[in-house]
Amino acid sequence: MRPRTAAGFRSSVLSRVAGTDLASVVFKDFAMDDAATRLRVFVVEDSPIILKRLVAAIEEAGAELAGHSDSAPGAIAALASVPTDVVIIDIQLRSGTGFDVLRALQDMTPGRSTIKIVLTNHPGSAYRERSFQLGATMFYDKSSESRQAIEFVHQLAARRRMAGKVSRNVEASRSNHLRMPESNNRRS
Amino acid sequence: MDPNIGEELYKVMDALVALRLDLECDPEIPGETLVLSAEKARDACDAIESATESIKHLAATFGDDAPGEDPLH
Repeated sequence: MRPRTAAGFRSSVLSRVAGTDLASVVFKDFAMDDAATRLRVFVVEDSPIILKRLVAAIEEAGAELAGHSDSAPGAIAALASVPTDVVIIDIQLRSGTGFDVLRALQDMTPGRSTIKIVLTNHPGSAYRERSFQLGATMFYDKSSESRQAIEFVHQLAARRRMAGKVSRNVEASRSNHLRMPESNNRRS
Repeated sequence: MDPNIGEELYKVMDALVALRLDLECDPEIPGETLVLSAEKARDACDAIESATESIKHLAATFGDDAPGEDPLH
C-alpha cells in the first residue's frame, strides 16, 4: 500500500515522483551542512516491544538513534535539545499524545524541518487528518504499514549517505583545486 | 470502553505488529529465504507472551473467571 502523505504534499508531489523514491523528494529540503552526519532518528513510542524493533531497524538502516521517549512531555523536552532529522511518533503514549509532540515541533525552529513520521494503531481518517494538520510528513497504520515506515527510514538514511558522499567529494575536489597551484609551482 | 480494556487491546495489537516484523511477513521476500534467527525467534516468543498476558487480563476483565461459576473453558 502506498504510504499516506499530507493532502497538499500528496497532490503536488506524488504525481511528480511516480517511479522514484519518495525519500528523495522529502529529503531534498535537508541542509547540505548535515550531510556529513548519519541520519538521526528519534522515536516516540510507549510500547517496549515496538521500540525494540524500531531501534533495530534504525541501526540496520545505518542511521543513528538520536533518542527515544515513551511520553509526550519527555519527547518534547528531549527534542528541544537533541539534533534530529526524523521523528517517528506514536499517537497513544504513556502520557500525552503524539499530537502534543507534533504541535510542539511546529513551535521549534529546527522542529519545523524535521521529517515527522506518524506510526499508529489509530489509522482512522480523523487521526490522519489531524496529524497532517499538525505537520506530519508521513502517516502509517502500525498494524499493516510498519514495514513501509521502516523502508522509508531506510530510504532516508541511504539518501543521507549519498548526500554525505557528494559533500565529501565536493570538499575533496575543492581542496585539490586549492592545492593545485602550489603543487604546479613546485613542479616548475 | 474501559480504558484498561483499550490499553490491553492495544498491547495485543503492538505484540502482533512486532511479531509480524520479526517474521518478515513481506510478500516480496523469496519463498526459500530463511528469515528467523534465534534472536528474532526469541523476540517473537516475547511478543507472543506479551499478547497472551494481555489477552489473559482481558479475559479476566470480561468475567470469564468470575467466582462461584463453573469455568467455561
